Amino acid sequence: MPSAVRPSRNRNPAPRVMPLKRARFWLICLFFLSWAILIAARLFWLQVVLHGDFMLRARQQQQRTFDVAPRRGVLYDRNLRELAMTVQVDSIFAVPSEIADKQVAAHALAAIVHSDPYDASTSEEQIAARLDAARNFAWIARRVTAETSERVKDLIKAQDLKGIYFQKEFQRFYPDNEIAAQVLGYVGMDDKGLGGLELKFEPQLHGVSGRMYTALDARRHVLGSSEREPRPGRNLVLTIDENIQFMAERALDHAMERTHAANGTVVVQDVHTGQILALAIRPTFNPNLFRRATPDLLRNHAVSDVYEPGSVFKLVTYSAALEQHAVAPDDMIDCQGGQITLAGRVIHDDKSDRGLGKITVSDALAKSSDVAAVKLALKVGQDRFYQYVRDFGFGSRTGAEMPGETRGLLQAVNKWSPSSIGSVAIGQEIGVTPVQLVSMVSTIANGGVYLPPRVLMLGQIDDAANGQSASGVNTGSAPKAPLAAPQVPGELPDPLPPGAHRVLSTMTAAQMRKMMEGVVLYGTGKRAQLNGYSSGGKTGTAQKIDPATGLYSKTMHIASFAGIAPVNNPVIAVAVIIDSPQGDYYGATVSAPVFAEVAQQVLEYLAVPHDIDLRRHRALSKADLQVKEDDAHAQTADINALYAAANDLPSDDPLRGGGQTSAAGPPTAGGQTQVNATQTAAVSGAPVNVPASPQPVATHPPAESQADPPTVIVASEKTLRVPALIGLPVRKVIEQAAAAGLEVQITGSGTVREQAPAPGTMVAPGTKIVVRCGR
Amino acid sequence: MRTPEFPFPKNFDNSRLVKAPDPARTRQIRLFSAACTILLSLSMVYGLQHFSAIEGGYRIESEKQAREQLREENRELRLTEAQLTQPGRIDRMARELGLAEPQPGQVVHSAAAVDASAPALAQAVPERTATSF
Repeated sequence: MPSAVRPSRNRNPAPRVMPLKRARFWLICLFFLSWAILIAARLFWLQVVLHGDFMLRARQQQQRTFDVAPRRGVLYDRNLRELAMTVQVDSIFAVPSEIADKQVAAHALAAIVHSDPYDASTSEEQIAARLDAARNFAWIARRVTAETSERVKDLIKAQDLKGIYFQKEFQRFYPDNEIAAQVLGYVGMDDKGLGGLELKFEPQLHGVSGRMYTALDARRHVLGSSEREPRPGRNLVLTIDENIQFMAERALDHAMERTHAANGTVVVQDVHTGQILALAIRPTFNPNLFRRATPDLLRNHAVSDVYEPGSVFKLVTYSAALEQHAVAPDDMIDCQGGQITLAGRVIHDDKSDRGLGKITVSDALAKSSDVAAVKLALKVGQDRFYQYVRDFGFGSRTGAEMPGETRGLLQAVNKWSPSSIGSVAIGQEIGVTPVQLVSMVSTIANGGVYLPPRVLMLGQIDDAANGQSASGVNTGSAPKAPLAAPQVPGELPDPLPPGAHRVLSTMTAAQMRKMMEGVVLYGTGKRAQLNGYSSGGKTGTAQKIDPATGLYSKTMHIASFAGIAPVNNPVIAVAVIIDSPQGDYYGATVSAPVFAEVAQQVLEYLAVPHDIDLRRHRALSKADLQVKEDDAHAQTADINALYAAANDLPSDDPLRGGGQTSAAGPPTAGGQTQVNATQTAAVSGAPVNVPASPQPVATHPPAESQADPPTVIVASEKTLRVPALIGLPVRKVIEQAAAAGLEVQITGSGTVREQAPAPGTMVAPGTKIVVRCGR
Repeated sequence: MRTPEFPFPKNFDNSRLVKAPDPARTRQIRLFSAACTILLSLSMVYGLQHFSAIEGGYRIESEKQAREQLREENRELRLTEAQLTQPGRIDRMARELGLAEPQPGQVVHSAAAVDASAPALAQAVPERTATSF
């Protein structure tokens, strides 16, 4: 029975007490409310009050900023083949604090990475020193080959080496090794150009560094990134043709082996555009192994060295005389028995030409008569003759885009002595570069217009005033086409490039070409005859100045030949300069054969039609080979005039030993006024032997058999490149094939799985591509 | 002395008791449930987007790296091609295979019009020819 409640008689009941249940309820509510308030307050504190602090800490923890190195621009030849390009390679670094035994690690790593004895930085001692010197970072080896990288990775796995890591860096490669080394130059470890075009166009080729901002999570994975893209370096297209360059270098190699000369230079130029197709220099170096190069190997003799051209310069004299209508090619000129006195100085013809009487002007050039040349210069007059010399480009920089170019040695006419006109007329008292010489010959070849020589295709690099042009940005793909203006074959560009000007009339130029042909057919240049092509030129043999005595040396010579081919419609001009050949030193026997070898191959390569009948190969008769000495007799020109011209050079001219040089080697001593070819006399004439790039086999063309060799027919009409169609839908395939000028045959449906021919194949227009599609 | 207590079950029949219908309360509960559902859905959507964006960031970075890797491979292949096609190497290999330089006139270019007297420009012939250097 429930207990009853006793009735209360009290009329004033006690105040009601809250039932315990309700109190407990509100207590619990209060507890939860307090909890919620605490949480909210904490959230407010963390997310509002401390917002800034936490954002800062998060940024510090997560965000990383990296400098992104720009990729260096690619150097292409005129056919868009890579001559210099940059790819990523592994560099190996260590965190020394993580390495247990530094000496053991250094020893093990050096055994693998120290493969080049010239690279002291990868020796065991150097690696150990770097590991001891730093705690958090030390290079082991930079820019190693893929093979070395793999071996190091295998070593790390095998020996459980800690603290060794890899990082990608850019490495410059020159796939053709030594080809056009002095022209291209090389880059150092910090990716800066140190010679040649790499140095000259360093700002354009280097690019601009970028920045990458990344957010990293706790595992150091990248959550996201934003970057200021690095601006890669510009790609540059050169006028050099890789194949022509190879031909020129191989011919020069043959000559160097024959003559053991101190150095040699061959320049091949397109006469109608002024573009340098090849510039070969020996001895040379491998830009991939630039540590092994000495400063003299880096020198670009084609633009930085001068020499007295000797008889080759008579082309200027005869051109001036014809242009001034002082003489005609068939006029008779009295060679006075091979001797002439000018201002008290006696100038002799060569011994073999002494006794020459009245001969035609053409014959005088063919026989290289000094007397005739002096007389012609006197007829032209000193001032006008000097002007012709300047108009041909001598005495000033050509503007070819190579560093270290000298303007040559040519005294101002007001400083000429009374006999200077005679000396200059026969190529003395003047210093010229091989590039100036070939440009002079090109002027005659193209009808009389001087075209500045160029190594870079036009339109790529604006001058400083206009800023850089927007073309040639390195997007990782090759530029679409060389940037030269379209040109009609065999005609001069219209408009003429800057610096071009007419020097001779077309008639005079034609007359000169004919006379140059006479030199090759009947004169001293017989060894320059070609098979199937006419050629013309002029030989030269000049004595060098002996640095010991300051006088012309009887034992040191420079053999040169400058020529054009074919004669009637010249395509190329070639200048060959061989410095200090041993034994035979005449231009006719040393340099003319080099011209013949180069010109013959180049014209065949360019598919220039033959303009004379082909003949069976025959050995030249002894009579043909008999060389008349050009001008290798005692030179009596005023050497002081040459020194004076050298002292007139601007301070930045490399011949003065100051300013921009073509290499990062030690600068030449100041006051070197003699021709710089003498400096190289001490350099071994043998080409540099680099194991990485085996020299081509030095063979000569085999003796022709009696039977006619088989004919090879090559399609030389325009060919088209087959586009890549794999993965494309049918509609795209049809569009791309049509755009490429090709037909397409489609089997199956869907996207392309296979195609024939393969992408990149060169085919004739209208060829049918077969594609097989599938789903 | 307390009355002894003897627990014994007592059955109650409360089946006659029914909860009085409260429409207002029912509507409130339904509204509240709907609001919670919407709020939760929005939260889920936000969360999904947030983490998807993070995952997307990872994927984008991965694709960027893959693209750069492919580009680099392409450059390496072009370098390899340039090294393999350098004229000196081709020349050496051709000679090792017994090939010889063509004699003048041995290679005939089948151009449409071959005019020996026409001017010529120093331009290279197509890349693939049958000559060896």
